[in-house]
Amino acid sequence: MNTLITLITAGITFGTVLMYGTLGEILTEKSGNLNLGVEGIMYMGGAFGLAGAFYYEKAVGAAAIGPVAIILAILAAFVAGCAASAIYSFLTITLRTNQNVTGLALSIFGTGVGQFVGELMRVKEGGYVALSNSLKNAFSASVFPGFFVKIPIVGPILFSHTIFFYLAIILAIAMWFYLSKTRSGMYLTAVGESPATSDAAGINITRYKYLATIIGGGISAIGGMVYIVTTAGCVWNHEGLSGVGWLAVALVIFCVWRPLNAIWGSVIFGAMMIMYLRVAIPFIPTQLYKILPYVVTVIVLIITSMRNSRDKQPPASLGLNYFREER
Amino acid sequence: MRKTLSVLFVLLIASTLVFAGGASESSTGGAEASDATTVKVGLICIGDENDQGYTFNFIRGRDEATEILAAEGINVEWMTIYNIGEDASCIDANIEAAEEGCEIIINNSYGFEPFMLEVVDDYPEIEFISCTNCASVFDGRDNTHNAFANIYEGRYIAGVVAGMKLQQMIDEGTINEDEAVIGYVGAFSFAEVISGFTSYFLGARSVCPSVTMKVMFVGSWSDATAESDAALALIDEGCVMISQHSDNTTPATAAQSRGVFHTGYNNDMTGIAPEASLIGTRIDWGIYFSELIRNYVNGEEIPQDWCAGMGEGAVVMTPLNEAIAAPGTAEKIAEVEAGIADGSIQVFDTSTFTVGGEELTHAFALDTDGDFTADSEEAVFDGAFHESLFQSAPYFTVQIDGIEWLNAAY
Amino acid sequence: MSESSKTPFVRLAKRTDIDPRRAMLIRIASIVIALILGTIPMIISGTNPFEAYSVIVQGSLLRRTYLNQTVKIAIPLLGCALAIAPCFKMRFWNIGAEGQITIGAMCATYFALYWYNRVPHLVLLLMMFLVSLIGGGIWALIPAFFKAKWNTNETLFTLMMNYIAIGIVAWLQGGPWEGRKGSQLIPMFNDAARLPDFNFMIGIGEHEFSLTSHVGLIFILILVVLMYIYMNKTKQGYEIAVIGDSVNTARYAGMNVGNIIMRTMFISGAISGFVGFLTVSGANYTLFSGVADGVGFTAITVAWLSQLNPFAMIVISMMLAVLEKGANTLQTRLQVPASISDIITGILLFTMLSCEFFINYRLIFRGRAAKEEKA
Repeated sequence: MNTLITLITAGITFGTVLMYGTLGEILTEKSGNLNLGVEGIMYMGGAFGLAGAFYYEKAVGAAAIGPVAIILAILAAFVAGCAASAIYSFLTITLRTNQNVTGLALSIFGTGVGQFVGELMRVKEGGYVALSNSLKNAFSASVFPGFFVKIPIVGPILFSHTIFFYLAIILAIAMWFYLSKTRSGMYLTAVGESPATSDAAGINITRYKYLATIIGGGISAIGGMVYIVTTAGCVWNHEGLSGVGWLAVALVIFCVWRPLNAIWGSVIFGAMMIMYLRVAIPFIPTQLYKILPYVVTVIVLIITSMRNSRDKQPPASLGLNYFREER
Repeated sequence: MRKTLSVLFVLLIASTLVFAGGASESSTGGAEASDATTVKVGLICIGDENDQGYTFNFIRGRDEATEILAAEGINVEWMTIYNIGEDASCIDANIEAAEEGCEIIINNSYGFEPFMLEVVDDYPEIEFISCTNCASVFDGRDNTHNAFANIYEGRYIAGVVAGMKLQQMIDEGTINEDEAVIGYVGAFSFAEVISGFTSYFLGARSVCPSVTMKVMFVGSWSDATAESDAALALIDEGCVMISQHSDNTTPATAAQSRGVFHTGYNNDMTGIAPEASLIGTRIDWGIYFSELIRNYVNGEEIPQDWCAGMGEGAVVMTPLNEAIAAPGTAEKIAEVEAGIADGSIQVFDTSTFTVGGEELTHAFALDTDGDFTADSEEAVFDGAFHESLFQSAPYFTVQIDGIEWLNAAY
Repeated sequence: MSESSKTPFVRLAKRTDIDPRRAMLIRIASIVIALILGTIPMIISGTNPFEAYSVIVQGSLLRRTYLNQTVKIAIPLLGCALAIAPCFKMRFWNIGAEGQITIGAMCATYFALYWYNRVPHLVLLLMMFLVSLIGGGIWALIPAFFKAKWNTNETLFTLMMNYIAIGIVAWLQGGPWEGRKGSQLIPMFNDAARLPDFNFMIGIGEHEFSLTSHVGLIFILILVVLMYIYMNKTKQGYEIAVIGDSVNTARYAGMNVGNIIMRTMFISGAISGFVGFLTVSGANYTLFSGVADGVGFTAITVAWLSQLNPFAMIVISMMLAVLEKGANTLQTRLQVPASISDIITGILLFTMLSCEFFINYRLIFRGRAAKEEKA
């Protein structure tokens, strides 16, 4: 029981990172754009998010306060992610390049930019780049008073997390509300399912695709920043984010494109990634635990395609560009 | 279109040829003549300063050696290559350093050695150093060397500091005797790490008899996330003191966030975790680097296998965090340091530990036939296991009683 | 609806008749633009772009060893782009080359580690070669089977297979195949399991050009020709092209689309597996989980930018290899982070992808359109 609680708590720590990556990509894919650049976007988010907080603290010194640093880090990461996915959007939507290839190119580009910025900060500072303990604390502390955290079972599971976790939950709910309860959200879904029909119905496809992809990229990027300022201890980590973005892409499938599923899905994936440190299952080498999320995703993918149930499919136009004149 | 492409390709090749022909005289590979007082040294690192640990410590050693040698009139031009993996990219990094004119190339991580050895024969005039590994000593080549320091001595003292803190907590009733559990974040279950945490544990038990230890391996020298996760997992298992043999500071951060204590490696981590980190120990690579480069410049022999300990200043303790350490710790450190230096304290004194309930009477030190199992040179004699005597790289691989391995799969 | 009722400012028209020379010019221009944009990170890091580019060229081409290193990087890129080409022609989005390389390398490594003293040198290499083909092929066949049978999304499936393959090798590395206990390293291959090097020399005028590479280079160059023939001159190549155009057409024509998908993917995976064999046996001399090193992904862009033309792939893969190798020297000489190669590669991909738009479409601006209609 105790193991289970600690596993969930630890799963949430890494799961929060994934949740942002996944929610962003869900929004993107809902518009029919398969953005495989999440890996690069999250790298950029990590580097720019850290840079935002670091240079803020450098500018104001000891006067730096946590909430401002958090907001700046989120903003910096979000803007970086938006910029990256704006490139992707321009290429795939306006210039009609292949989505898979463009996404991979963005992956390479973003990873490069992230590592470049991370490294450059170190070179310019002539040593390591780290935030002060008080800011570090602001990023990694629970938002609830210690009293709540100490409640048995419920305390660690519900109240012991950073602000980023609760923001992610709010975001997931908001996104669910948007996609299924608002007119605009339904239009977006329609664009992803059948751009031709939506176009005929007078929906401005281009605008929906652009906005969903750019905002989605911004949200994904926040995940990279959360990784750096929580699990990586507020220092730039050269290889730390590698594979996280791809895991987020996998998670989108696992969640069958539903924002609310992302909440528990990312906690499960997060737990699977650290399970090798916590739970030993006889006969399965702990190293192989790390591939569990991917195996599970493959199984989900196969089952949904075999069952062919309509509500669990990818958006019908996912990965395909829309050419009006070829309608 | 294809025609144009092939034209382009030919152009590319042709321009390459012209450039290559033109450049062939100017570049002569690694053996560029250097003037007597300047020496170019390559340092290939597994991480960068951001780890504030392992690589950071090497960089500090680099800068220290530069200073020492500058005073002697030797200029060192460093070429530092960061963030190289323990994989084939290390081959490329060594070639790069050699081609860029380095006369000495230092590989800072254990897993670099096999890849480094792929390159060394192409550059017989360059000296290659593999820190912390052990194959270069015995490979019969003159230009490959190993180096390590007796870090187990420093870990023993860090263990003493941790043990005193635990004993204080027991005496004050914060924890009872059975709760004095140390959690140790290890990189891999292999000799260097085993030797390190065993010495640490023996140090702690020398002042806190009821202490026990749990070890968790993360399967990587440098993985900030996994190290943090492992530390948290250990704390969840009831550990009240965390130590580490891994490159990052995240175990210290994790300890601080959960209100337990910590001792560090490679760096003074009291700044990062002022309420948790008691002390750290590190290798002072400046001692070795300066000796190495001085010998090279003076044409003296470079040791095939360099090893030094606290006595030579190659292993040092970082400042004690007086605010949270148990009273009397500083005095005790001085006493143990002196004991290690004059040999009155043997870290692996076989009367202080048991293996499977029995005293250790036999263990081999070296592997001579390449099957990765030690098969020669008896390390146990005169009532102690003699670590780092036959080679600089540690060879203590015994699992002693009192230390529980939570995962041994690595 | 109001938008479509008035004439938009700019209209698009597909064109198929562009002059090939002009198309080539556009492509070259896109490369130039990318190189210009690539100066931005250089300037940010405080480096003179001219100096930086010159170091990149020096560090990748202008010294024997560096040229060898560059070619070493280009070989797997080229090989893997060749592997991907038939899949992409079929509009089957195999982004699992990374995993197929890894599995091919893994299969070859088994024989390198446990059979090197049982069979003669050449037989050993042949065995490694064959199992790498089979291993990579089967790894690719799995998603193809589900695609053929249940139309399972292959992009996502092959992507997941990458990480499963990498995870398996990570396990072998720290488990059954580990060398020194706890080292997490598989021992280096015995000489018997290594591909021989060869020295390639030609003299042009007074210049002597020499290149040392493992023999894999020869095989990959032969493969370029074979792949060209396969895709353009054989029945199977034709079938692939038809499916790529329209699955329905292929069905009406009586083709067994499922079988063709599986066959093509097996071939593709087998070539990727072969690349894995070349990498462990010719370049790395051991196996580790990062053996594919992103090649599977980069090669996709190589294949696409070459418009699936095997000969063009030589140029593109060499170009990316120059950037990657040159950036390493850039880092050691001018302290510009080597990740700049990824940035420039990314920019290059962006501009080259975009330029196809200007080759395939004509932009008709409002004013000019009216004039044209009158004429």
